[in-house]
Amino acid sequence: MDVGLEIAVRLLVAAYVGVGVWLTIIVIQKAGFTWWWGIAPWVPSIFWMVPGIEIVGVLAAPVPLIFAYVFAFIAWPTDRYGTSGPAPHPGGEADDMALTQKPGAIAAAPLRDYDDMQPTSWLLTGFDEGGRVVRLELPDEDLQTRREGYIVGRSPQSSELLIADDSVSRRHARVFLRGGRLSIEDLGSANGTTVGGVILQPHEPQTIDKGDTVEVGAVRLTVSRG
Amino acid sequence: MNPFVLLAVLGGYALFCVLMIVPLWRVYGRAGLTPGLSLLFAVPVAGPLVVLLLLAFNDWPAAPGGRS
Repeated sequence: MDVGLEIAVRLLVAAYVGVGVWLTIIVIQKAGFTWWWGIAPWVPSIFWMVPGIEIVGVLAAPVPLIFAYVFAFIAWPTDRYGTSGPAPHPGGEADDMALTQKPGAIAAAPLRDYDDMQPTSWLLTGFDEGGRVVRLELPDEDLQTRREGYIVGRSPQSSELLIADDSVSRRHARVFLRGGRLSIEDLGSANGTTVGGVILQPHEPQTIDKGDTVEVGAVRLTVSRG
Repeated sequence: MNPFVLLAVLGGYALFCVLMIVPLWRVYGRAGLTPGLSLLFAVPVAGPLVVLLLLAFNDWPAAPGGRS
């Protein structure tokens, strides 16, 4: 091949790979990973560009494929959220319930005059398999400031909204605001989550609204405002 | 070009596209974007960059707060 043409081709490939690396880094960071992971799938292409060591690029050819599968199927850092919550809940009003909100998970709404009473929270209420009351309260203010939302589950260590029922996974679902609307996302739970009887695919959020019925495992909850 | 070689190249490319579209489909789904957009990967040369471009610069509805 003509030397000039070869240089031009290598420059074009370099530009293509450069743009690819840049875009991959953006995607990787959006999923919560460190930026340099974005270089990994382009390593073979980088070797192909260097004269004399193209063979290394050929040998590393499966790397993009492996990377794509690993990235698609492992947990992303944005899937995992810390358990530190806003100010402690001072009321402890749900002490006698089978389901309680994790202490410290969500701050109580301030007391207001009844004349001024407007709904300020989303409520998910119902009963577990043992007939015990389940009540999850999500104040609007907390949902707006905590963009990652709240984990619903059975484990006090990894969930902010607890449901003490065996059908509920330790980290079962996530409830959060999406575009100003309440949404729920199943986190790959064992017994699944349904909205209006429709099973949610893991990690595919579904908007919920007043009157909707949500099943977290075998626990059926009704969405309301309060 | 030998038609058999051409067929092998096209078949290999098709297989590679299928193998890549599977994880991309899932990534689009997890991001809250239309998974069908991952089919753009099969467009020669520009396809992979377009797929990455859409992932990089679209809001991810499934991300916390609706965007990322």
